[in-house]
Amino acid sequence: MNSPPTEPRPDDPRDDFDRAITSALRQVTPPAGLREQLLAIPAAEAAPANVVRGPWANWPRRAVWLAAAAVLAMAALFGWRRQADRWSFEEFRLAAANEIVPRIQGSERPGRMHLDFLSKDPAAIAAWLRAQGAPEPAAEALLRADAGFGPVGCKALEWHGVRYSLACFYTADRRSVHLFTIPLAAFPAGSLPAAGARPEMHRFGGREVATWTEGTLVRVLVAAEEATSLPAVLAL
Amino acid sequence: MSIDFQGLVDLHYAALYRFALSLAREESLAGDFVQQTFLKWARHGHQLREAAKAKTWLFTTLHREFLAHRRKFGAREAPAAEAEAALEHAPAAAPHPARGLDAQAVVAALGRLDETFRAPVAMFYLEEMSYAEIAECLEIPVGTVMSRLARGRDKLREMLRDRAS
Repeated sequence: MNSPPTEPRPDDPRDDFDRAITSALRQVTPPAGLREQLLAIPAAEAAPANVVRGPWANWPRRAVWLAAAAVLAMAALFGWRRQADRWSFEEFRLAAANEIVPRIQGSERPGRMHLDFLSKDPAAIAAWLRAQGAPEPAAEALLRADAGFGPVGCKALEWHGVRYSLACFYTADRRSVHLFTIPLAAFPAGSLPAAGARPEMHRFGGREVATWTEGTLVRVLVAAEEATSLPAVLAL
Repeated sequence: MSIDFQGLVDLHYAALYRFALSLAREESLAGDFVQQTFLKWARHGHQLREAAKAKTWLFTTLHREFLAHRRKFGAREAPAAEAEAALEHAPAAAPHPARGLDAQAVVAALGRLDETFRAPVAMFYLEEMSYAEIAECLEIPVGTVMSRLARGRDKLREMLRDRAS
């Protein structure tokens, strides 16, 4: 949505050149589908945001927050970590898709992934991850054999003190997918995909993301390329 | 007093996207920053006491997201291929009748500005924000905004003039 052109105000420091730049920049349009993605942010999250309080209405709330902050600071001082301190699964999923995968893809060097252990052998990958104290991906059971997966390698990472694994694969047509496996215990209850349900599908920054839980683990599968369809490669 | 989420998205998402693109210089990353910003609004926007400050809140939040991302991964130039791809989506508009400016050239020049100047310059041009508004969004003094804008604008003019000649 472009803002309407505005008439220059008498006190406006902008000259014709500035206005020409503004006019040119407003021709840049957001990618198709972005608005829909924003509007799809769950209504449950958006609903409480609709109330704007008066300036004094927040004082009791502030006092509560200050007290809570003091308690948490004390707890941190004594090394006490509570479940409420943990980051949500949603934040992990977003970081996986938007930050970790682009880094791993290593776009400065096409075709080279930034991994800690390179191997085409699933057993070797599992053994290496075990040695690092990271959960195994067990990808053979998760990914469709006829999609022609080839392991590339893996990485052991840490999410706020919890070890997790990232295993990377190529599909038959040389597209890459990345499987994150992390213990459920890393996240506060309530923010996780439903156990035993079909994978939940999301899209972040053009990448398709599938999430599901399995026993004590949660899996996040991220397609590195926009064209890759995850339901077509998942065996679940 | 209430703020309608859809209305907020419709009013600001395009400007936020342009701002994010000018900072990140990658189309996909820019879209992600906008998503993160509205996700944070959905969670924390109710803490805002004045509805009139929604725009400032959104721009401040997006800028913080960008800074957090940069702190985590360091300054990173957009790979040439991605930068080119992002620019392909900027319309190859007819040059501006007065100055011969088109969107691609301006976005590219803005992306080449030093990061210190890029955010205030982008806000100045994209949203026609006042010095005070920019200072509030970037959480820096008005005087700093003015000096950064002066230098950033000069640099931008210089780059576009060089290109034109």
